[in-house]
Amino acid sequence: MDRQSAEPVKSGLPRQLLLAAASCVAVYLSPALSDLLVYDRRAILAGELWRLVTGHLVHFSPTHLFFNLLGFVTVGLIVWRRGYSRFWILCAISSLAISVALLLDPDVTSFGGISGLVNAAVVFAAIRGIGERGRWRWFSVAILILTVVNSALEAMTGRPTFAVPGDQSFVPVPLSHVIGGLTGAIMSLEPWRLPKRRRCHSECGNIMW
Amino acid sequence: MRWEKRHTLTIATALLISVLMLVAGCMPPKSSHYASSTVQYLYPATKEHIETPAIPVLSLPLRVGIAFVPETSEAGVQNPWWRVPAQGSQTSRVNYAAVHSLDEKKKMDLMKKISAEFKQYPFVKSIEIIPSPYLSPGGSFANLDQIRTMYGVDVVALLSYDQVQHTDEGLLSLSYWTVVGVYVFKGEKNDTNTMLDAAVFDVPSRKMLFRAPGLSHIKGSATPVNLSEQLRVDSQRGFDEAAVTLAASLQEQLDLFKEKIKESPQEYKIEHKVGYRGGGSVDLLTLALALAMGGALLWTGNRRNR
Repeated sequence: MDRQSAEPVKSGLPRQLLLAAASCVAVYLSPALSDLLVYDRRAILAGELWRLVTGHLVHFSPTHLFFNLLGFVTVGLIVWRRGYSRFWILCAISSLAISVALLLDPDVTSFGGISGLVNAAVVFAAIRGIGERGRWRWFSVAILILTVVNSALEAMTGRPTFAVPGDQSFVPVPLSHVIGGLTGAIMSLEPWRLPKRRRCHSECGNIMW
Repeated sequence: MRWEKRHTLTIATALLISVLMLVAGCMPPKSSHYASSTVQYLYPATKEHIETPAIPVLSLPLRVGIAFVPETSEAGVQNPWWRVPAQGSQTSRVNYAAVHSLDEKKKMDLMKKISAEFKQYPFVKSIEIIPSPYLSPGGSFANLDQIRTMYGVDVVALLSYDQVQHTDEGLLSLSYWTVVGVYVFKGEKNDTNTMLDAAVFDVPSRKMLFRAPGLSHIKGSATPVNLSEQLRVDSQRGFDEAAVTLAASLQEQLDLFKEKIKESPQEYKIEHKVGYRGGGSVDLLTLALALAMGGALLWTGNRRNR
């Protein structure tokens, strides 16, 4: 992974992030829109494929929306400010990956929530942060270890380790967090740049990652 | 002659002490037994009709009811021979049983502890704690049907218990002859064996889904003066410890049951209620990590390579 050059991080608020957050709120406030966009297994299998991506914008209760958006906006701002590229590609791919994984579980007939993307972004930011210098690097290592341990516990027990208490409007699906984390890890390693790096390694004679 | 008199006195004293020791040491053990039985509640002897279980249809997420089955009438105290009440009199047994059997508050506390085990499972929508007066002795499935209608539950976890307490006289009981010893020395040795049992039934199909036991064994000692109090303490402790092992056992049995459903789909039919949905909810730890990253970003001065 490249060591980043010293340059000021981006300031301000990314419009796309605000747009995504506003979309979540709008979808929550409109039940008709929620019905149209929610992950519905039967509808997806009948051909309504947009639900694979849009289902993550749907939330089932104010608590569900609040905590998910708090996590998403915070981690989105971190990624933006650190200048890590391809965040939106990460969001699109992890949305698809999570939904496809959920299709393999027939028990989940309906699904909503952006938390899988939050997990993807946390892992993505932590692995990219390891490639940097200074305190941020070690902080990223700690974040990555804790996230991996937490996701492993969720995968083993099949339930969230530290769930937000009191929300019974839906059944938590930890699989979305695990798949999100895996997607974030794969995306942060930039697999599409692998052949180029290898070429560079052989040509330049020094280790780039 | 004088020597013979003294010798006789010594032998008499030794005999007296031996008899007293024999009496003190050979006191028969006291024991008490308190129990409630799921089988007696569901299949009372007076009813000839036996329910035939059908294939359970579990409609997820489940609404679970939890209740203690009524106590059995045989429960009570087996007194030593000199304390057996007169024929026809039940006074001694009833009073003693009233002191030591599970009271409603304790039952509620135990049910709350056990319901916490169910609550953490995503396929459980709600838990209803059903007070004992709603279950009639020998009420069988007809009574469970009424409860199902009243509380709107799909499955019911029936809790029963069995507690036996034995009290034996130890060597220290010899000191009771000094009178002061009765108040000072703990010559009464108590053993308390407790079993709590949870059997989960699908009411419409009359089928038991799974069961889990919780066991405990408490040893204690007491002076004769505070024996009753100590037995009560041991009894409560026995139930508390059995509830802890029951919780662990329940978790294990629930996981096994989930596997069983997957392996034998012909034995259990699973349906999803309208509105049953999964959700991706941010874990509190992930949220804390994201916020910590944000804080660290501000701390490092919003610049790279610090």
